[in-house]
Amino acid sequence: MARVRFLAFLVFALTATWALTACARPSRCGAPNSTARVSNDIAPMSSPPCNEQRVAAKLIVLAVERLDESASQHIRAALAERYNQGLFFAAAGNDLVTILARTDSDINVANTVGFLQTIGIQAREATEQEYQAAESALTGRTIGVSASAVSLDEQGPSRHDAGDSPLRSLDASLDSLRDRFNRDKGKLRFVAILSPT
Amino acid sequence: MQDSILKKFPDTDISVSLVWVEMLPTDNRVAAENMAASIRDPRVVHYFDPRGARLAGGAFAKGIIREGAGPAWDVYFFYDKDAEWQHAPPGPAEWFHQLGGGTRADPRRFAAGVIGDKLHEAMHRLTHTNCEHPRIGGRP
Repeated sequence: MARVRFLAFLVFALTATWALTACARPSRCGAPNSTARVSNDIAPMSSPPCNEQRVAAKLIVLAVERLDESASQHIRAALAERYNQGLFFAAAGNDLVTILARTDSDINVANTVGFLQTIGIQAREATEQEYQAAESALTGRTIGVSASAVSLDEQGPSRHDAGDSPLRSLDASLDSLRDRFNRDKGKLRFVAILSPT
Repeated sequence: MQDSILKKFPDTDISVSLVWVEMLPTDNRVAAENMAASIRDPRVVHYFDPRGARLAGGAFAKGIIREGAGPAWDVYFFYDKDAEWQHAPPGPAEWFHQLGGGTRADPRRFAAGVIGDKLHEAMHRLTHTNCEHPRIGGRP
């Protein structure tokens, strides 16, 4: 982090209508990400889970100008861990990292700013103009994706189960993992649970 | 992990299960498949724990991750030869994590930045000694 120079840092907190408006349209619920493209620096948003209780989610947008990718990774990991019940989106433009968090947990600007400060990131609350700009972009779901951004599209677990996928899915149960574990009794065993990115 | 365990112990009879869990925004099945493709070893089986389930993260969190601190991820467990998974994963013989500066789990097991060394050391201990390793985690 010492090598990273933040040129600007914006924090917007929105008491969002986004989750409600998006889920009010059944065709959007659970569907892959919007393909609308306007900007090239924000990753696509997954549709909110529609089988969950409708609550007014809050959105936080962090725009961080940065000098290297490690800043993005650091912030993303820190926020994802802190608010792991939320949905997080990040993409890198040439010099811009934007992180959007949707969470139903108790999160607000002051808390977030304070948290970021604990990990060495200077943050401030957005100006009204900045807030309006972010809200406008989100309300219209005009969220774009840069060519290099990682797709956050939710993929059905059964889609890749056929064929020669090297993965065994644990979406329904841990049986396959447990069975192998017990079958290999008599050997030293190692299990790691890891993020692929 | 690949270097610390698989490459440095090419002849060790170890059963390795790598669970790729969707935790970060960029995590998805494709990313998991890419990781699985990059770690090819007959001793390894790869699993995918999707965002909607996180079954492994939940099961392995019990007794390891602090109450309410979410699923287990960025965690590494070794199990001795006698360990058996009955109703829940057994207590590991050795384990490490890289969670939140050590605040979400036992800070003595926090190994961020040195995980490769820790895994290597544990492999040495577990493969070159015959002593019993006390189980950790409190589960029967």
